[in-house]
Amino acid sequence: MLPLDRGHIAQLLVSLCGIWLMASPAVLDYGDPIAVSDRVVGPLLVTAGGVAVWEVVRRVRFAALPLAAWLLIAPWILGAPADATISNMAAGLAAGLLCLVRGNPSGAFGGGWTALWTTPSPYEDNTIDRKKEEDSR
Amino acid sequence: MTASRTDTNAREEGAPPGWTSNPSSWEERLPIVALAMVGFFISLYLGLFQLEVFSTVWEPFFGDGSRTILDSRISHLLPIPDALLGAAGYFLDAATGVIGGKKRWRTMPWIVIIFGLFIGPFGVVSIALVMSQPIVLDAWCTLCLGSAVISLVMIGPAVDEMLASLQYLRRERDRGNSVKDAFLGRGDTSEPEVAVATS
Repeated sequence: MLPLDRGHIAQLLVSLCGIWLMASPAVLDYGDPIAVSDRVVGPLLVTAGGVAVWEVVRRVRFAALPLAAWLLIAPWILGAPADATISNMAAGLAAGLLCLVRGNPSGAFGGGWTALWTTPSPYEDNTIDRKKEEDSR
Repeated sequence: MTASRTDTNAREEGAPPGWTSNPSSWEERLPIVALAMVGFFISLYLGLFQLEVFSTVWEPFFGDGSRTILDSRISHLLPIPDALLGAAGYFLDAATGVIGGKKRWRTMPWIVIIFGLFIGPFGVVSIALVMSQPIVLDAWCTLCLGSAVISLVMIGPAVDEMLASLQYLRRERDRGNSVKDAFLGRGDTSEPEVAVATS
C-alpha cells in the first residue's frame, strides 16, 4: 500500500471528515437533531473512506457521495445553528469532492470484481484448458 | 477496474492470474492477524470488566464514558457481554487468517471466504455500536472506538484475498470443473503459476 498516492490520501481525508463530524457536536457545542445526523453520518463516512483506502475496494469511495449530498441539505431540513450548518456543508463539500479522486492504483487484481460476472471471464483465454489437455493425452 | 494485462515479470510468486501481488502471502496476512490479536486483547479486557473481573476500566479521554457504555443495556442485550462476543470474533479472524499456506486463495477457498465473511458483518456491528455510543448513551469509550477502527482496517486486506478466491472459482466453473470441489480445495489446484500472456 505504501507509498501513498493521492487516491490513498483523498480517501483518508474522507475518513477525517467523518471523524470531524463525530466530534463536532461536542467541539462546537450544538445539539439535536443535527447532532444525531452528524453522529450517524460521521461513522459511515469514516467507514467509506477507510475501506476505499485499499485499492481493491476503491469503488466503495462512491458510498460517500450520497452521504456528502445529505450533509449539504441536512442543516436546512433539520434546522441547525449557523456553526453546525457551516461545519456540515464544509464536510459535505470536502467529502463529496475527495471521494471522486480515484488515484492511480499500482496493483492489478485480475479484472477486479467485474471479472466475477463478465462473460467471458477476462483471464479464461490465457489459462491452460486442462480438460482439453487431458483429453488429448 | 479494467482487466489490465500484467507483465509476468512484475508478478509476485504465487499471485493469481492477472494480479501483481499475492493476497495470500504472509506479508499481506500477518498484519491482519496481528491486528486481530490486538482487537482480541482489547475486547477481552473490556469483556472481563463487564463480567466484573476488573473493577475499573482504562479511559483516558471521556471521563466516565467507558463505564457508562460497558455497563449499558445495549452492551447487555445478549446473555453474553458484547465485548466478549467481539473477542470471540477477533479470535476467529486471527485463526482463519493463519490457517493455510501462501497459495490458499486456490488451495483452500473455503477458509478465505469464511475469513472474508467473518470480517464483513463484524464491521457492520462495530459501526452500529459506534453510532449508538453518543446517540443513545451520550458517552464515548476510547477502547471501544479503538476496537472499531481495527475491525474497519481489516476489511480491505481480507476482501482482496476473497476476490482472488472468487475469481478462481469462476475460472474453475468456466473450465467445466466442479465449483464445490474447488471451493473445498478438493479440485485440481494446479492452475498454472504464470497464466497471463505478455503479448
